[in-house]
Amino acid sequence: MTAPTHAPVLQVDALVTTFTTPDEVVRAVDDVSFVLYPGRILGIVGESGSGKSVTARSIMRMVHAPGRVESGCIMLGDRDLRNLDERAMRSVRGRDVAMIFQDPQAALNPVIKIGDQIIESLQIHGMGAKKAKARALELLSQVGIPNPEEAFERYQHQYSGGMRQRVVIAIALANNPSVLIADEPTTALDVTIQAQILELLRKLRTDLGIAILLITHDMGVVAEMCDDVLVMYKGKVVERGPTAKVLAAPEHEYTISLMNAVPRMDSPLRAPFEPSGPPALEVSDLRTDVNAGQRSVFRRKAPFYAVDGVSIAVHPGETVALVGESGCGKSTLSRTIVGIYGSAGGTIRVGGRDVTAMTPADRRHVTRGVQYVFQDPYSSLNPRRTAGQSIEEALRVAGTPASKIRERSIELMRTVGLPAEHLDRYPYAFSGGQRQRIGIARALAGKAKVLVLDEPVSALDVSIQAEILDLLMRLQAEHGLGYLFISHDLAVVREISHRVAVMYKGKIVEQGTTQEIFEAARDPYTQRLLASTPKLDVEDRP
Amino acid sequence: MADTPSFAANRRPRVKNPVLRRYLTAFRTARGIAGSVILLVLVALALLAPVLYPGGYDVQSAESLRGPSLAHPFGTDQLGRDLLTRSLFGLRIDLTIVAVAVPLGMVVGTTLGLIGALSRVAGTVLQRVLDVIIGFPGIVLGMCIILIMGPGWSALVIAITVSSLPTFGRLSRAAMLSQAQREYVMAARTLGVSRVTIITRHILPNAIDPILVAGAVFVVHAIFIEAGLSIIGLGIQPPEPSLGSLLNQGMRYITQAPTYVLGPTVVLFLLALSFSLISDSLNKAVNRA
Repeated sequence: MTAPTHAPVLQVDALVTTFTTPDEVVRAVDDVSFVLYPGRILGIVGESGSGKSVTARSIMRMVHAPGRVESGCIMLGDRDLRNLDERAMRSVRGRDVAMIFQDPQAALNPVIKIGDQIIESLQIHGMGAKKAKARALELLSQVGIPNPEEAFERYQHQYSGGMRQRVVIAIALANNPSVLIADEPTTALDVTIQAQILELLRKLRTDLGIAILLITHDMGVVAEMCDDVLVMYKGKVVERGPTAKVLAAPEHEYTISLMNAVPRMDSPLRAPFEPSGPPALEVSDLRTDVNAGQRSVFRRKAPFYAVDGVSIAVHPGETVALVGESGCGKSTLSRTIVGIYGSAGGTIRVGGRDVTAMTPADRRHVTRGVQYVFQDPYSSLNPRRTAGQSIEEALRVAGTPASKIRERSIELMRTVGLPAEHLDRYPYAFSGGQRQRIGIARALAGKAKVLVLDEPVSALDVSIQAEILDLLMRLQAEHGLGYLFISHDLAVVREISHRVAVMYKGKIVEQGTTQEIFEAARDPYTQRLLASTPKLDVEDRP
Repeated sequence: MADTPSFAANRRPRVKNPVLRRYLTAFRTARGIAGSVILLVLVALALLAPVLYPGGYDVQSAESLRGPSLAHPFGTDQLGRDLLTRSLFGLRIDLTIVAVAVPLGMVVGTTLGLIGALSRVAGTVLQRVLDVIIGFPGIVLGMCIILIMGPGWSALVIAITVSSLPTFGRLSRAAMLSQAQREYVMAARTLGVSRVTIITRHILPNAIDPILVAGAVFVVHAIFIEAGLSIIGLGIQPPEPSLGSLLNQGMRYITQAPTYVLGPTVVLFLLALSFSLISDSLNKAVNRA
């Protein structure tokens, strides 16, 4: 944390980027200025639509119509990138300024070997074939890929998401750029993998003295990584300064509200929950075979149990969190509970009755008490039906008399904090948070006792996330709902749950009260998860 | 979601239904406008043909096989009949065939495709049946049907409908399979909504875009199937004209009156052009969202 001693590598001054629509001109980036020094990490933080990604694309001159860089200058050394012709700009991209994106799978070509993709990026900027191969191997080992010789000959699908992101970083570093723009580089990754990639970026910064512009929505990542930070809101920089200062003592109103919305790993826990009766949902020894029903002419596919002997119970009024990384089986478990997948063993008791042994019709009747809320509010609502139609359908299926349906749907909209006149709107007219509210209203239509919430806030901005969590807690208090809350985000889980179950490879490795898990985790996997979760405390950074 | 500013937020649309509005944007593009203007003019001429030419399509005169003139812009045929008149009456027939056969094929084909959502076995069997239909060229299939039913308007309609089934059946099946995996379909399932309701209310409306576009494209095919069958004498029977049968007649006199085929060809071309412009812009409109 020393003061910059070098000359800046990149200076952006009064950058304005606009998008012209038939109705108006949107200033997506509005008078943004910053300076980037070698060996330092500058964070740009903001919510969706704040203009942070457009800022990055403007620097790379990759804003396409109807977008346009209106004014300002982008000085790379002593050259203004805005004045370069397209040819000169192409030689800047990749050689002087490199960029990595959120989704490494989309950034890599699936039919070209990893080694050849790195070599390609070297040869574009004029390196000979032999030298390029040697450099590619060096890069692969630099980004921590085991057995570079072997990796060289492999394809991206043979690697996990974290390894792919390492390859993308290797390609970005190939030509020794002086600036690396990382646009949400770890958002698509699991928290333990995220920790590894962030560690790699820090190491590269120190070893190579590269300047990194890190774009993220995650305050924890900012706290762990950045020397300085810009907070963007509606295209403007509303606050800037050293990370420690901005996070600890934000001055702008927006930054303050943002910091208040971020779930903290040191906030007070919810009061412990004392169950007063039998559980509303009780799962014992549940197994789900995801290969069931898949067979060739000659033999059945070997069973694969994505959920392997899981037991978990949810009482009315209680929030049980199910935590784990992608592929651990948490979504399969929740979908088995609501009957989207069939179970291969064990029991699911709803209100004391085992539904796995029931006929489909009986089961549908009983499981109406357990409803599902999806992660992605954009895809879980039918785009061709209004909010009202979606809610009314749920009411009709639940047996609400026709005369009561309109009245009940208005009531449900109010319950989730939406005005009744929004019933006639189509999903596209709602924001992500509003859509998730509609999803919750739909789940409540059938007088559910338990909601299975599958990552209900993961797709939302942090301020919206806080609103939805508040709504869920209020509904729980008013209606005595039990929640099975599935999440990969430990900070959110800590805020909302009474009990926590940690899932790993289809099994629950540890289960206990929120306090037990967060303060005295016994299982090594739980401990690793906790250690990987970014903390907001700048002094505590690794 | 990507960090792009939302454009639609402040707009207050006149047509509220977003689906309809999206289709309507197709008719605001240059291609869409050109296509629909040509089509409207052709339809108007076809509708007005009995008014413009109260004598009908069979008024004969001594002036046979003349080239284009002011009195006869498309010239006259071997019996001295005005070819413009016959072309417009022929267009009338073609439009009625297309207007019945293509929507019929769309409905039947889409239904066949969606049956796969109810029963996997029935779906697979139907797809194989459709594969067999694909195996026959449209003309050969049409000839078989006409040999069974005898030539005429309804045989043409059936022939065109049957040859359109694979297009719509496969498209709707593909759309159904991809929609069935969407979360809103899963959401409906977890609520306990019945399968038929899921298909009609959730899957079908979201699967309809490619089917509509394919429908507009198929209209062009349909016209050519009619023309093809009429050229070999299996379509509309004389003295009634269709664009295809006019071409069929004109071919015989190609050495004496080369301009004979010109008029019907132009009309056929304009008809095909209008639908291909419309399907093109419709395709762009539905894929823009």
